[in-house]
Amino acid sequence: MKTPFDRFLEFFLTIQVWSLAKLLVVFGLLLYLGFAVVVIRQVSLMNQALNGAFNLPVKVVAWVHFLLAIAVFLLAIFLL
Amino acid sequence: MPDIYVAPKRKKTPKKVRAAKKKVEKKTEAEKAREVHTTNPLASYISSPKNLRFETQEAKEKIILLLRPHWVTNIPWILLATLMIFAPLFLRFFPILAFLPLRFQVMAIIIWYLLTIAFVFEQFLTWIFNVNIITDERIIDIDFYSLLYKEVSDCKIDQIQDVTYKMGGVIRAIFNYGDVFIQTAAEEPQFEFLAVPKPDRIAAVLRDLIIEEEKEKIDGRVR
Repeated sequence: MKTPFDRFLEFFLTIQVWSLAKLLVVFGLLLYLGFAVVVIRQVSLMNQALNGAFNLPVKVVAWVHFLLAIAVFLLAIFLL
Repeated sequence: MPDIYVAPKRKKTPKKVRAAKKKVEKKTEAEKAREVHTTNPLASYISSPKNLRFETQEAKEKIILLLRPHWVTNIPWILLATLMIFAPLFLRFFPILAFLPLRFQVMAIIIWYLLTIAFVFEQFLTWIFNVNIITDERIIDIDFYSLLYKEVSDCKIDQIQDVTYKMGGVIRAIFNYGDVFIQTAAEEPQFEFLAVPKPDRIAAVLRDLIIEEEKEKIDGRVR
């Protein structure tokens, strides 16, 4: 027979824990989105400091990374 | 008596040609670096780069050398990134995520790859933008320590007091790279060009530039 404590644990492990986990993942990805923005800013600063043939590809990668971060953030909201 | 052997007469090379040849032979490292144009923008040792400028470059200032750490220094992070790419495959043998619902497992793997991309990109950026520049007037050290913090130090060639280079260890000897330390009379007392290729040639270029600068001072051609 399950004790009240077992039920309490079961309640948190089945419903609340995963909702909390989703919240944490989404929050983490939101912070990551901030980081992706900082990367874009950083790349633009670096391009200012040194202007060469590699500037455009690096800028494109920074933007692709930012778009990927948005996609993963949205995926986390809808998938989890 | 007939001659057994008559040596062919050597044509005398004109004095001008001989002088020109001597001049070619006596080219300094700085002059050589000025003449050879490296076209690969991802090289570690770029001499007289075209289409490349830096933030504080003056109109008449010419870049003689642009230096980055040798590409070998990237191997540790490339290996780590490769390991990170293949790490999710090990989940088949060590199912450490099995306690998570399937949707969380999928999300964990996606996030893992996102972090891998960020790691690779950051390491690459750090390598490509942390450069040392030698121009005909100055040496410049551009360092990016963190995401938004950069440090740019420069020193005029005539303020250089001493140039030392160090090469040690098996890998550095094989790939011919090392550290160049430049003592200066500028605000920044020492410039360090770390893990740069051909440190002996860099030191030679700097010595030639110092001599050129002294000659310019004597001739009164200082910019």
